Amino acid sequence: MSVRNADLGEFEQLVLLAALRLGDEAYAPSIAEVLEDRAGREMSRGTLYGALDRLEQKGLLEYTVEAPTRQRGGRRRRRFQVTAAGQEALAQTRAVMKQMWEGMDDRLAGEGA
Amino acid sequence: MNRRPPRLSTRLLSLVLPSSVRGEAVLGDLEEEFHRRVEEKGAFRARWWYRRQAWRVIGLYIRPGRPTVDPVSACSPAEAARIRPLESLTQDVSHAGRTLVRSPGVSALVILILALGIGVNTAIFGAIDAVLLRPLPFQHPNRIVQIIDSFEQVERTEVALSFPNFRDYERARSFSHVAAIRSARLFVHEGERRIEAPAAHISSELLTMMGARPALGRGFLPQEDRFDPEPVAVLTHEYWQRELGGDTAVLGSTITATLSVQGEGWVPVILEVVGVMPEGFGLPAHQINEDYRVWVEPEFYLPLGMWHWGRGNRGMYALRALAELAPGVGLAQAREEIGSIAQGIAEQDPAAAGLSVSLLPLKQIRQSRYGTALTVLWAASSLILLVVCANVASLMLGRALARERELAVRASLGASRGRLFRSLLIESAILGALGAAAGVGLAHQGSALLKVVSPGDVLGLEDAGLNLEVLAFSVVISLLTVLLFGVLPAWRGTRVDPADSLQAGRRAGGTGGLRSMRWLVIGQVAVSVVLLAGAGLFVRSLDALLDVDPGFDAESTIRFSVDLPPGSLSRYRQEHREWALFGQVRERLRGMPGVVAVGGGGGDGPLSGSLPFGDVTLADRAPPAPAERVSVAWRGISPGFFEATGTPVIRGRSLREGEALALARDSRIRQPRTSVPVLVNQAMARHFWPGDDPLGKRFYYGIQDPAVVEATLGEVEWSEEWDQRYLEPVPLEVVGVVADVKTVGLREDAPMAYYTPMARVMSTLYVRVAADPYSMVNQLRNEIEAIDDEIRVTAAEPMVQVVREVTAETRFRASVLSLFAGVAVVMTALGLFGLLAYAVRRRTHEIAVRISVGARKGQVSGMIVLDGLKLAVPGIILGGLLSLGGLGLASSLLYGVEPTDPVTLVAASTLVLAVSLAACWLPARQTTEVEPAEILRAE
Repeated sequence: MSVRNADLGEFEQLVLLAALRLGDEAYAPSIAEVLEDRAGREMSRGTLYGALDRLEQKGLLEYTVEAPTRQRGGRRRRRFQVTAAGQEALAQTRAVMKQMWEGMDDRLAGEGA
Repeated sequence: MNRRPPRLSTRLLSLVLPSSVRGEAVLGDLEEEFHRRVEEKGAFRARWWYRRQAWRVIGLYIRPGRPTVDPVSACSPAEAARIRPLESLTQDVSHAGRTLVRSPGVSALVILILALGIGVNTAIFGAIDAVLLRPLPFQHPNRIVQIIDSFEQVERTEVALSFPNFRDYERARSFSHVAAIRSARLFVHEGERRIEAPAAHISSELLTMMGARPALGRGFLPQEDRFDPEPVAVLTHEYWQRELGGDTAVLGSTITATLSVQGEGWVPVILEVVGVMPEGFGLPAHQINEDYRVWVEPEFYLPLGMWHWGRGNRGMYALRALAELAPGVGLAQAREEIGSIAQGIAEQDPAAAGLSVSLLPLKQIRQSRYGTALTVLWAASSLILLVVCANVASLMLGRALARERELAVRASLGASRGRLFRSLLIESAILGALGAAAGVGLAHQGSALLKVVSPGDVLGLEDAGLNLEVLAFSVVISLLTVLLFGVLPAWRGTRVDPADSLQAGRRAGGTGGLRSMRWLVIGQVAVSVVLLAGAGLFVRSLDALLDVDPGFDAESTIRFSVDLPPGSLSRYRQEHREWALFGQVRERLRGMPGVVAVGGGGGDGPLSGSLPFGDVTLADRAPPAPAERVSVAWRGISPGFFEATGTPVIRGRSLREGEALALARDSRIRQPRTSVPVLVNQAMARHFWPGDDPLGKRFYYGIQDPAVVEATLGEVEWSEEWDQRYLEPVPLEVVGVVADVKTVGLREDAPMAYYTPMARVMSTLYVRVAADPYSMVNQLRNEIEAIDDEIRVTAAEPMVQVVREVTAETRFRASVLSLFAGVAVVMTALGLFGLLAYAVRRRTHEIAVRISVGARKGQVSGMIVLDGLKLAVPGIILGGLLSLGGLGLASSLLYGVEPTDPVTLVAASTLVLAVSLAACWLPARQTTEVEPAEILRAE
């Protein structure tokens, strides 16, 4: 399955990476936590669920439904997994990025980073 | 301590989120995170976090075009059954929105038509609200009456009251307050300049009655109503701001001015400012029976006591008087008391013989002045709204029928009829809301437009505009409109039998929808006929009015109002040489190329709006008994007046050059005189000397005893003041008869009038020209002002313009009604066209079969046209009947045409019929394009 890079936004990449990193613990709150740690500020759950929905529609992310808990007001929860297509999309994106970054480090360093 | 997430946010979230596991999981996530935050950061911050995030998630799910899966398709049938009502509503709304966007042309047309209907109605209601519904500016508006003297026997009604009568009525116990208003002329001194400031004398109780208090200082005191008080003034807020810079030290300061005191001429006064009224305050001139055509809103209020002239004269109708009925006193009771006071006056004073008095509630005055005109407009705009509803209903119905298949599919997939009905109604409601919004915008423009195009005070529209009541009205009519145009299509459209519709496809389908549309079209045709007939009546009234012979030559005469500085400020006035100046003006203008004749008169000439006043006594008869007294207008003119106004002299002669001048010179000399030459108009000749030759007849101004007048002739000593001389018994001898000249308006009969020579007339100049009057106005104006510094032209207008102004009301109604009728006819044509076009489309198969079995195309087209006529003709007949019944409402606004005028009715019907035929023709032509073979093959 080929995925065009244009289909993966920067935020979506981050969400996919966070889900990948979290492995079996990839619930929406934990994904949010990972991203908030990285960004250092509160993240909009609207943005997050929007991205999750989009990624799911593109077939890059899927979920399994888990049993409800009391802590959740008796509601079921979704555990996310990055699909094979999702992993491929991440890999492709990284490849493209790497290609684009080739030899650029010096130029940026020149700016005094 | 509350450890649950905020309830409102949770409730809203659960309404918006899809009811599938997707939504459930989000709610669960948020609650889980909430509890963790309570542990970590405390309940308060956790609750805040929850609310914030809830709104962001809500924002995600209510944003259009969100990338989620359609909730209905995503959920299982069991879940779908649990779909919350509001959720399905939002679904319906967005579905309706998409449907409407899919056919933007029809949607835009519907919105436009609705906006037109709602806009027109809102604008007209705005006018009605401002003019008829808003409370009058009084503390007890329902108890205010105007006191009007009248002379019933001779059908002479004054809009005013004399001062002695006012004083007598003031004592009536039926009134808790009585107040009087009298206009005044005031020139404020500003260095060398004298600037006229509109002014009025008002009595002390007026402000109390109006519930108004000065913003600064005081109003007038009761003692200031009595003769000759200290000269004081109360200013309007506007004058105070504009001329005095809003200086709060104004109280106690003085203003030097010149006041016209009739009988004494112009007298200098030093007015002490004692009060300033609040912003926006004005006298209720538009609410009382006042001649609003000459009313200028005063900026200076002076005490009634400063008004001098005629205070002792019961025949001098100078005051507008208002009274407030005492609490608990009914109108009948007050009328009885005032009536007996008037009777007492009439018995005591012969000059007041025949006097009776009437009390008119202000509400009634307002209603009778504006009620009919506004009711007609309102009725017309309501009809427009009906046409709009019918039209939009047809459009929506057509759309619903065209979507039969779609609706059938939805029904077969399990949508209940109620659900389909609701979703169609929601489409209508969305269109209605958009139409209403556009309509209110239109009304805002519309009421501004009404104010601009409604001439003078036709509608009293000053305060018209959008306010809460008007907006509420437009919301209500929009709702009604949605119900009217939405329910029928929704009802018809959802009456589908899925199996039937899906199988039969386009071909069969219900004819029920068509039948409903037929009724709508018939209704529209009927309303069009009514509106068109109404417009026709107003157009014919205007025509009749313009055909009226005004008694003067409107085409080539120009009227100039000229003014000299007041009193001692004018060299000419001081030296009594106005006549010389006037003679100079006439000479100068007569020498100009293109000028045919020049004459002068008072301000009461052709179409000046002035009413007749005054009595005459015939020389060879006893003074008229009270019952025989009639009002006759007296006009002072210069030689050349009739030539300049183009008024035909029918018998005898016009005034000779020098006749007036001789009189003017004579005024300096003590000289006995036997008679003054006068011309009378035909109305006066007919009334006083029916069947007799009026030439050589003599009469006197006022009620005189001829024996006394003739005996004292030759002993009359002429005083300095010309005006007063005419109050003395000078015999007037008829030397000519002139045509009747309309003065009040073109509708009203010309009053009886006589014309006497007068040399000092400077207030109005008439110039008759051989060229286009508009092209000469400025040149003539400059020429007049160039003669002397003192002369100022205050107004210059070709009489054509004046005729336009007095016919403006009729013109206004004719154009508004024509516009409405035009809109109705166009919409009706559209409706008829739409229906037939739709019917042809539906019957393509049938038509194809007919043609293939040998029907000629002409026959088929004829069949369609006949179908259209089956709608148009009953509609026209219905409309004709409605017109006969309903147009009587407008009869008092018509001129020279009956509300049931057959010509107008036939013309309106014929026009509607012609338009209907045109609307039938296009769809009928479509049938000729039917290719039977192709269509039948496609089946």
